[in-house]
Amino acid sequence: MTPRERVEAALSFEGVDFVPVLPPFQGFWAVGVYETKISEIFKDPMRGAEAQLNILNKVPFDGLEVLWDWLAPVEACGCKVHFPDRGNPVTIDRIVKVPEDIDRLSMPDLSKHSRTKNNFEVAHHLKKTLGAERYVYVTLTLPFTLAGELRGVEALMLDILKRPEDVHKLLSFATEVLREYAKFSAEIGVDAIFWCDPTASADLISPRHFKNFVAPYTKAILKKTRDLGLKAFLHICGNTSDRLNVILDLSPDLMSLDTKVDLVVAKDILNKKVPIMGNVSTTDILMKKPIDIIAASKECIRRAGKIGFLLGAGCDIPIDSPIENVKSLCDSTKEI
Amino acid sequence: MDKEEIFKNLAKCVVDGDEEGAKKWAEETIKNNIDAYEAIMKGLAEGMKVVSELYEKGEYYVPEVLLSASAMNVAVEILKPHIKVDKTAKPITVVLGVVEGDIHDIGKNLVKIMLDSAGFRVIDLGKDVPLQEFVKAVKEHGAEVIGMSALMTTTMPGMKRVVDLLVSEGYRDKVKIMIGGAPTTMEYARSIGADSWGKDASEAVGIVRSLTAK
Repeated sequence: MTPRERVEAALSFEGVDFVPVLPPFQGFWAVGVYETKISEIFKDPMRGAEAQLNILNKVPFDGLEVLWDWLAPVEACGCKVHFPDRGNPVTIDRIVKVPEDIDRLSMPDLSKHSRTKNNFEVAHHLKKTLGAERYVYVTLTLPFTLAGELRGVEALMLDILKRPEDVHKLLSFATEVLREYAKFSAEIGVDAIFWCDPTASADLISPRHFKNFVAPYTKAILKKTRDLGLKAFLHICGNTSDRLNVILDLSPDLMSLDTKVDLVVAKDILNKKVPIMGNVSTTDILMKKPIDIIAASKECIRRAGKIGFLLGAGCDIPIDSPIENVKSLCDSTKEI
Repeated sequence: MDKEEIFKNLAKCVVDGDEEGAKKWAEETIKNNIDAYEAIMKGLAEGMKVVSELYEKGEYYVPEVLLSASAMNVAVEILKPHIKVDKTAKPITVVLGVVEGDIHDIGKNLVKIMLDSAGFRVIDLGKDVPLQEFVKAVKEHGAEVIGMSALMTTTMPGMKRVVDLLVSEGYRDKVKIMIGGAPTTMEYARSIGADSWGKDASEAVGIVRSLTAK
């Protein structure tokens, strides 16, 4: 099987020669392998593309993200963002300082936002170069996480209890913005969008609030993605076990699980309807040895089974992870 | 009005995240000449203890804890000017911060809320804290405990560097170190030479107490 066939088979619960491996999020890590300053790629985006191509020669992922700057929408909406030399961009100034600011938000023109434009140009280039053989996807934030960045996560948490109507208004705006990003993604013809929602994690909000403030907007985004002809993947950080039943209703085309989730439990709940992926510890990938990563990967496959399962890390491959450790994810599947 | 009744109401307002009620019962405390410090410790802090338990049990999440803290702060602001200061007693001091490169501070803020409400003196260095600042703050404030947190796997190693800095400056045995944050584990805490690890903010008070028990 080619890498692409392997991924497609796993997504349709068909048999595979080897369990496919998606990082799932390797972009910044790969850049970090080749650049001393990760911030450089925001000045010279094609260097980011080269890093992804180079890393594939060392770590043969079956699919990968071709757009990894997933918080670009935050800047497009008007927040100030800091680009550290070695790390992911961070939001430093919120556009929604008081709830009244929500009414002053306006839809950004993505074709005029240079960071967004650059990201999609890079993604387009990588899709053209790699798309025939490998599965390619763009990584983007979901509305709840985008809302948290626009408002500040702590303020959003209090708004949920104090002024839920304002939160819904902000989420509707975020959903509109992300629909535009979905359209851009469809235009360059990637296979899927990996929608990420770390702020919807069980470390932050209850299942009840997840149902009220996350599920409806996620549903709208997943539908839009499919209407555009793309697969809609979902990743939520932390322990999502208590909300997997809601996720089953949302039925993404793939659910990516963090390390804290027991794959047996996840498989049981999402059984035969949603393929799952995960969930080797990112801390282990950063700090342990290849032999440990191979053992952890095999344990994941043993627990999840070979059907409807893709192997990957529980979250982003951390910047500075040794290449040998990341490669061990791919090596492990050949031994089973 | 009976002071036990007022304490019970203060605690309830904290648990319910009721800011208006907290204001009302704090004013009642003053009106009835009840000791403000006692009202904080036996009313508000008791309420926060319940909040911490509910958080640990998974009944409360971050929004609920933040709202409770907000109600508590409303009452504390009213009561504080009325506390009779005892200059001889020095509370245990804890230096808190999120290590350099990491801006995820909600967990650290929850720890601060829990420690504040339990009567500890908290020096909050904030987020993205340069590592040397931890050492500086410990010396400057004579802190008994350092609490460090990181949410990102990539910023975690900063905690080890703070431990190493304390060792190299001959200060390690003067301070206890606790760490926390999603990617951290007890195993990691031991491996970097920290004294304790907490799985979430609900454990913070117990850990500081046990680390500083004489």
